[in-house]
Amino acid sequence: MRARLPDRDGYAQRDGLKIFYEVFGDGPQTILLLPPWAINHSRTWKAQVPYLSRHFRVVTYDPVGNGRSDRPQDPNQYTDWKRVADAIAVMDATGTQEAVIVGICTEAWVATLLAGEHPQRANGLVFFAPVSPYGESMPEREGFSFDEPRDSYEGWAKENRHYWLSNYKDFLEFFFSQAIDEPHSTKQIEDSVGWGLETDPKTLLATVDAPEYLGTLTAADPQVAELYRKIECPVLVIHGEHDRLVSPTRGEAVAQATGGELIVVKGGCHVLWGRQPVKVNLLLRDFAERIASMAPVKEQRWTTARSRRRRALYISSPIGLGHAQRDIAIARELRHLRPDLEIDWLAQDPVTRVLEAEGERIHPASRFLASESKHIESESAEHDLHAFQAVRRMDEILVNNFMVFHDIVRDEPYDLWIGDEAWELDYFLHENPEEKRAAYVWMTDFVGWIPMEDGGEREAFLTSDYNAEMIEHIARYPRLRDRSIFVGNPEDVVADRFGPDLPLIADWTREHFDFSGYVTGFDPAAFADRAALRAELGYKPDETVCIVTVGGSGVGGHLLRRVIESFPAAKRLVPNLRMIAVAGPRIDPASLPSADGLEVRAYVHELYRHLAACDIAVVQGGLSTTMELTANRRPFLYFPLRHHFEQNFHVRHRLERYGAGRCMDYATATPDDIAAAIASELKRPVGYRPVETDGAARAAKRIAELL
Amino acid sequence: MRAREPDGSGYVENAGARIYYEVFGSGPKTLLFLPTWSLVHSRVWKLQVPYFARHYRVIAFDGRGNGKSSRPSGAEAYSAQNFVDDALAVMDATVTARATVAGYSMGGLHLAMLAANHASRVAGAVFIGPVAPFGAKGRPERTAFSWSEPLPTSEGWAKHNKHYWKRAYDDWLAFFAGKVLTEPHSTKGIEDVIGWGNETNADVLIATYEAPESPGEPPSDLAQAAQYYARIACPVLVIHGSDDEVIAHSAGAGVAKATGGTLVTIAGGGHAPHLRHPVKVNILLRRFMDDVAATADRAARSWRTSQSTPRGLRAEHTHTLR
Repeated sequence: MRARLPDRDGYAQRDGLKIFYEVFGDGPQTILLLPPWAINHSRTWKAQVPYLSRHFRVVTYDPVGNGRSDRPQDPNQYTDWKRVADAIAVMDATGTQEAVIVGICTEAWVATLLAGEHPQRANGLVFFAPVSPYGESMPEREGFSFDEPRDSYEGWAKENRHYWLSNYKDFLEFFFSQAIDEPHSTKQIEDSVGWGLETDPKTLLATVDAPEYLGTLTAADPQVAELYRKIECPVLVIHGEHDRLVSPTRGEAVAQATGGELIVVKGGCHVLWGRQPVKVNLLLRDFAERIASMAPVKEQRWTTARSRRRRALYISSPIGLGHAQRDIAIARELRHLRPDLEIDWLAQDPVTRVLEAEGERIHPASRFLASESKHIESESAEHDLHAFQAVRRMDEILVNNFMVFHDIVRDEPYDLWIGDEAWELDYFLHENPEEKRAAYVWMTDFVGWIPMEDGGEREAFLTSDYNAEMIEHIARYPRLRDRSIFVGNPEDVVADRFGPDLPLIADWTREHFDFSGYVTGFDPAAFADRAALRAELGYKPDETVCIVTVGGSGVGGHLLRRVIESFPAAKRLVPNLRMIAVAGPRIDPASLPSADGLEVRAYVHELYRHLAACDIAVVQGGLSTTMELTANRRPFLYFPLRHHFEQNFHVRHRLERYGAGRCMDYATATPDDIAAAIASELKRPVGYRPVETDGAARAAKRIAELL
Repeated sequence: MRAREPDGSGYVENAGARIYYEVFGSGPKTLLFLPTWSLVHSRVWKLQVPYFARHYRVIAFDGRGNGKSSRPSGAEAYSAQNFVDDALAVMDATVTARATVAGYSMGGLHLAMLAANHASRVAGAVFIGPVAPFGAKGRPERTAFSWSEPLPTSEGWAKHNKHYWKRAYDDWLAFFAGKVLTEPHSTKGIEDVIGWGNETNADVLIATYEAPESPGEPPSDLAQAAQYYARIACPVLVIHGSDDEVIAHSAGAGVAKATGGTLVTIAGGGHAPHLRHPVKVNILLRRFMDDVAATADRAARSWRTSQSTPRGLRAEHTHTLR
């Protein structure tokens, strides 16, 4: 899901062609992110738009030839000056008098022409890997004819009109493997190939067959120097040192010719805005703020070190409600150990509801977080959530949410940052280590992305690539995490390998993590008197209470319905059955079917008390609910979501170690099967391994040592 | 030993005094550190000068009444206007057309006069714990005591008194240094202030207090003062400690408000943030210099449009991944 939707969109017109634009945010300074060459479109800026639009007005548009803009076949529509006219048309249509204009590659040349011809429209220019008559070409790209057919096509020979027509996808894959050649770039490459496939090779050929102004100029032409000299506004050039498409000598030359600033990114590829989004975001913001001479905040406060109160920023993952409960328990223990500690939470719905109910302070910037739960819901199908791909496709949400975090901590000192499965925090800190400014604790209940079998070779490769990236991060920056806490015991870690030629997950985790034991968030001893608890909750002694709950996100709706369907058969087998279906905070109870003897309730605070009181539960395969039931020694059926590696592998491994629950297959379980399973689990004696109760205290102790 | 020796130094005569100045570093942008009350001299900026001298041209001079400048006698010699004219004389002597200027405490009042009345010389103004017409006039334990009348007591702020200065200068000096630097663990700063205070004497300081008011000074009427400070057109930064016991924080806040500048409050900080929190002040001041430079560049560039002079590379950075 997109991290930020436009506030306005529409079409500009140029020579009767429609150009699709989007406008985000508001404010006196606009940043115009020019589209790339029509091989891609405005979505190339997906990691920039959500962040920049919180601080500026941002305009993007799709190039003629891709996206939602028109795709004429006439090459004359794609000349340099026509592309300048496209930008002006969009600026006019969006009421943008002047802007900081950002151009990539060949489009940096377009920006150059624009700023020279219409100086009053550009108050700043940013060029990424600018193409120019100045500088040198890339030798590897030379020597191949674009027009002559070949017997075979290898490497840059694929940049050929015949190959484009016959093997377009392969060309795209090659092109982007060169454009984004830093390690662990699978998502960026996948995205770019996908956007390339949204146009077709004939249209793309039209763009390169355009009578080309740039192509007719050489470095010796005096008009080139004149074009650059005409630029009046400040210029910033950003170029990857290892760019395989455009030589960094071009970037250097353009910076020299314009008197601009040059930033060379060592280790950087061509598509820096995609592969190094945090750094690029910070550079763009800083540049635009200087251009706008944005009056710095008129009042600032800096607190001397000894006057500062002890503060922690707690980032709790909103995927499901399980993290919230354990984090609150850990926070409580932390406050016993450090009574003067103030905790701010950076969190979003549904976690915020739980936090608010506990009286915790939610940082106001939390409202800028892009919704992870909505994204996860959008990724799910009938009882199916490919968790790994969902997280992979959450990339722009993660960048946005890291930038929200960064905005907070760059101005507000905290002693400690705690991230409970805060993927964006861990990933981007390891990619931008200089942004670490406080002690940092990482917590998780699983280690290792594991491929689903039906994902085949591709998925096996991707999960091992992601795992390898994580292992490399930790090996290179071992002190970035001050604590890595595994919520569980060493035996709870799966027996798999991270990937071929990678370590065993259990061995590596033992070496790199502390084990706190499981953190339930409550003490089961509190429910020792089950009879009294049942009475309090309104459950009669002769009722067989079955609670059906599917977690904090909206994914579980199908399971909820299927179990409700089993109720009549179950009631026949268990005559005193009373089934209570809990819809959770993101499913509307009114959307669920009803039956006699069946109750549907919306969000239930302290659901764990009801689960402790019930006779049997039917749940999804998430860790926190199944472990609550295990700790309370309740019979339960659990249905892991299809394609959800964490539920199918990590959680199942742990539950089997405790000897807890019965795993069901949603794909094959009919309502009658479910009814029969309910009846039979009620009869099975419970012999679970006890769940430790000191997990929160142990975790808090390790964390408190940092304060 | 000093962390940085001057690259040049000299004397300039003005209004009956001989003013000693030092120049450090080089470059197109100059940062001028004004002297403050004659209790101390240019060494009060010792924690700023070495850093800024690596990035800009820096000028510091000793105010009349202390350091290597002369100590003219008579109250008239110590008018605010004379201090302002001393600054202009130093700028002229060092061929400095324009500078970003920093003023601390009493120097903050002189800076306001410079920026309001000589705008073409001031590219940016940084006020640190400034004396100004705004805000609370001081804590009750201070305002309770007259400076000029003999007092029956010599406890606390009663020491800040003309007659006590004459008879027990050292005792007052130790007391006052402890009020400039009120935060824990400030012994070195306090020692330094006492040392600098011992380079002058009670007669000089009395003269500074009895100096006649200058016509160019900001008016004490608040509404008129606001108009006066509003004339300051250059970028302004004000840094003031929340717990300043010499000049109330509200004075600096008033300067920021009247000039439209930025106020940075040092929460928990006292009267000399540049001595007690030098790193933070250096970072704030550096950022301010860069912002001022950017503003000036833009102004210069739009003027240059019709000239089409080629520009060289302005800055080059290398950011290294992992």
